[in-house]
Amino acid sequence: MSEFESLFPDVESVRLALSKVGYLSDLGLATALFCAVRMGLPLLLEGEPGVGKTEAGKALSQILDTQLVRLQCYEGINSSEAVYEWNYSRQLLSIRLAEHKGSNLVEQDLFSEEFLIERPILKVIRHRGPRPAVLLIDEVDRSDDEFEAFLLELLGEGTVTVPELGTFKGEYPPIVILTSNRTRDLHDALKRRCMYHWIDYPSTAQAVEILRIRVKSASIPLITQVARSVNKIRGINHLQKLPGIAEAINWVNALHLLEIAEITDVRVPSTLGFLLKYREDQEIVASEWEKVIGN
Amino acid sequence: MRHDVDLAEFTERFTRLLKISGLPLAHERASMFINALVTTEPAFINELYWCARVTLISSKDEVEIFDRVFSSIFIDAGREMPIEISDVSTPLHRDARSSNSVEAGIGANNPLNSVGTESLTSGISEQDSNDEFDSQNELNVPMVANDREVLRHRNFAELDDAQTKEMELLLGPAAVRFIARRSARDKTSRRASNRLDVRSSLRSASRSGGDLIDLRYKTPKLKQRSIVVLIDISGSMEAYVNPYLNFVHLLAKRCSIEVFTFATRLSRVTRELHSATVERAIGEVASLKLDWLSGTTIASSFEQFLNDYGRRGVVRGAVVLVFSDGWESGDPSFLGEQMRRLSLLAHKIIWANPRVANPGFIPSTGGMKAVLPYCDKLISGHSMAALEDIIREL
Ligand SMILES: Nc1ncnc2c1ncn2[C@@H]1O[C@H](COP(=O)(O)OP(=O)(O)OP(=O)(O)O)[C@@H](O)[C@H]1O
Ligand SMILES: [Mg+2]
Repeated sequence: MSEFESLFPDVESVRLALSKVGYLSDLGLATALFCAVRMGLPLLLEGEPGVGKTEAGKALSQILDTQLVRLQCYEGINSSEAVYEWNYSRQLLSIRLAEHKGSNLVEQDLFSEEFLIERPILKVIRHRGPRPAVLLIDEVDRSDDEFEAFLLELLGEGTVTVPELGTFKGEYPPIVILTSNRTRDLHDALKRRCMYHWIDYPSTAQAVEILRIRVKSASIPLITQVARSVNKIRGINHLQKLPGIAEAINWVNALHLLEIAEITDVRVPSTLGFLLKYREDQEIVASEWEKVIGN
Repeated sequence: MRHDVDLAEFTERFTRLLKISGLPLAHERASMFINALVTTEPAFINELYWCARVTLISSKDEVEIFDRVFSSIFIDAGREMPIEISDVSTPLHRDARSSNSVEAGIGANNPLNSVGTESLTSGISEQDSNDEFDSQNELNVPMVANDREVLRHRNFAELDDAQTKEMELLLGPAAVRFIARRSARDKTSRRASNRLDVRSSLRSASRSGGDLIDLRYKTPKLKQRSIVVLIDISGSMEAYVNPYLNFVHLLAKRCSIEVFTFATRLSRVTRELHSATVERAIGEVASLKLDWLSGTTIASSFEQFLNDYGRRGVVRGAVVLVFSDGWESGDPSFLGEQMRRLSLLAHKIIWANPRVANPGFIPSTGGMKAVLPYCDKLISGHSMAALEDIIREL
């Protein structure tokens, strides 16, 4: 880890580097990522949709100038998709070939490196450097209990075991970032092995900065008005899904394309679909529109 | 060390208190926290806060309890704070309040947000209830009052003396961090319960095989390098001498430093710069009747410096900081030779030349050309903000 130590001597250096690759973080997130890198412990990032969890993992790999291996979780994901798999067709082929030649194949030959297919986790464990890779286990809350159990060895020991081959421990253990939307509670055993950070919605001023970076062409007054309104909209009761940064970016993009310069423009309420997914939410916000754009 | 036990115990107590308050703290977490402390070396309360929060909780639902316990220990306790907030953050507070900045506004009800320099981008993020901000600011620049930012970036030549004296207030986060670290280091031996003892105790607890933790430890910090400052006080540097003396006086309070002035000859002013106040320090330097505002022979001054002090080890391994525009009236190649000698002794040489900030600057003067190959860093140092580049190098 010594290379990272000189590259990132303190939390601030991480925050700066992130902002240089277009990801704006606050002290909390920068501390969390700094610790993940420097302490080599997994980090669990939670937050509402669209607050930049996935992006944080990506940005981290960028500033570390290292490979990003992303494992998108989904219901039913299992170890053969995430860790490793045997190349059955090749195994079969070998068996046939052996039969053909009349030679003898023992099981050991079939379960050797030659037939092993690396999936993200094994790949990242066996990563050959020059720096550890970043393993982004995205939306881990979508996977199920059994899969979480699979992860424990990786998170706790930094190893992966293939029963037929033994335990793999890499020369460059990965930096592991997990993200979750909290659609369900993760297992204690998993949480215990991770550091934790909750990414909040950004403040208005932070949102302005993010929008400026992400939608370079939009005017600053418009961006400012959007950031302010989005924050107000998040305060409105009974919305089903609050807008995240991703949605705010979409909205600014749309307004910009429609050449709308001011949030007070009468066309703006009809663009709410870019910000809010549900029609009911759009209606609620439209009905409170004066408050949203007022001071 | 006597305090060690207390302080290791303190960590224990903090986590125990969290548990008693209802936080389901897994046993691994205490060692994660300690590991994070050692790795991040928090200098401010909000840094400590995040260091602890990232390692000690495992769900958003735990934030509330965590915050309550944390502030009961570190904030409500006020003066009894086990982790010390450096006094340098106080002037910044004052500054922020009086200028109606974002810092004063956002999260004013949350004490953690009001710590010194970090501003908007850092404290505990909070849904923003205050929209007074200046969207022109970079996120990585502290969002404090606008006029403060303007002053920070203004060329010293355009500042009056009073503004120069505000230097300590105007230096930004890098400086505050630096100063905080230095002053905290200084105080370890004097104060019983400050942050450095926490750290050193954690370290020694581990050395003595304390079973409290099983961590990877940082190698001990290198001793801070001493600093040697050479200030050009010739006529062409007139507008900058005062600000630089102010700056150096600030450094002198915090680190081992040797200060010299030069124009046509060299003078040692270290003792004078250690006066209690800047005014006194500058007054003392002035009363030395140095060769103020005369022509410059940098080379012969440097030669004198190397002959008189170089051999005595003042420079050996030190960071050498030169403030000069490099206008040499003597032979540039002779200056180059002195620089070469200097570079052999010094750990690194930082050259601050206020003219670098001029648009289209090229080091065309013979002096600067001769000097550059031996400098590790050429910076402008023409404004408060620019001086921070120096601090980052120290
Ligand atoms: N702090 C930030 N700085 C810059 N851009 C950001 C930031 N946060 C989010 N974004 C932008 O918002 C978009 C959405 O972020 P991201 O996909 O990472 O959110 P998420 O939290 O992973 O959401 P989900 O839970 O839906 O997966 C990113 O593509 C990025 O452009
Ligand atoms: Mg995502």
